[in-house]
Amino acid sequence: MDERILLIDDEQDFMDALADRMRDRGMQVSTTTSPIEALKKADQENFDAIILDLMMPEMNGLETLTRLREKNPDLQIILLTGHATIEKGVEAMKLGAVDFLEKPIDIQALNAKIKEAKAQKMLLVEKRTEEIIKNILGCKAW
Amino acid sequence: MEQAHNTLDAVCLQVFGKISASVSHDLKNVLAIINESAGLLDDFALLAAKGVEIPADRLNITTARILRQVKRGDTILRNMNRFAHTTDAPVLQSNAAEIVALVVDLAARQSAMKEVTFTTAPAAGMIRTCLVYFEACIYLLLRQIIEVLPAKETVAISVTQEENTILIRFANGNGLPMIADQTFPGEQEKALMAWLKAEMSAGPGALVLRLPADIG
Repeated sequence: MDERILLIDDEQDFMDALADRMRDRGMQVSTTTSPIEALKKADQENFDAIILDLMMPEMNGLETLTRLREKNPDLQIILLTGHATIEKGVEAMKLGAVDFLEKPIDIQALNAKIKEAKAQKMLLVEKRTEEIIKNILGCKAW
Repeated sequence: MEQAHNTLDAVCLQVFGKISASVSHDLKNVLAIINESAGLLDDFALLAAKGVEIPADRLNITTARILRQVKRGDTILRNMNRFAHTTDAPVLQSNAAEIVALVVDLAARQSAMKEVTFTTAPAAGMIRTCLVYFEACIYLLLRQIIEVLPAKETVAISVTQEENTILIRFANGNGLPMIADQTFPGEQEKALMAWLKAEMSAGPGALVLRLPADIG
């Protein structure tokens, strides 16, 4: 099954090239340079993983990460950065990022992270569905 | 006197560090785009080897992207090189408007992050001073403007010469007087301005920096 990805980066050329490579690998990729637009897209579509740049105008990556996770805590977000620091990586993971990758990106590594993120997302969806069913069964006098 | 020089050197070192960090970040982005584009060309080569026809426009877009980034990287390095060479002698002569435009370019990453735009225009006035102090002073002023202005604002910078004085005017339709508040200029900026014999005044919608065309 194709992975559905949202790619957010203010570097248009970087985003376009990476999106092309991901599409060539069978992924469905939606792109935006705007974190605000990304929040709208995350509301409207169901993504298996979100690839998010750390340094952006309008709203930085960590703030975008927080707002995305507030909307949907099951979102699997992978952060990208030009210069990774341990402090930023730890902060991102504390805020709920599933991984933190440094540019330039190794496409094989990113591919593997996306597949892991999708598997994790499916597990969470299954868990939530199970909880909902349990709640329904608990409420109704079957 | 020695303490004043130490302060000035420390300020310049800090500005140099901030600019170097920003330049390295920009170059990393350039390399990341070239890396992805090269990877994409590699993907095309693998597909072509399997007999898949690659549309010419995809190749053209990818090579154009690489060329664009090479040009961008070259501009970043040229600017950094010009900036580094302003330390070649304690006092140097240069076109004041060109120095201001160079510093605006060096602060481009910070202004882009805040979506603040600086416009500059060529002008004839020459300045003979310690160029690295002059650049550090302009850089700190730009950083302060970026910090206090709301996002998406534009600041027009003009450079003129009145007899032996260079005037650098920073104008914004919604006003800039809040720049010259109790915290700015701070000790670092005051030390630079004292050495440069510069004065700053805030008027309606504009901030003006006056400094001698020749430090003597």
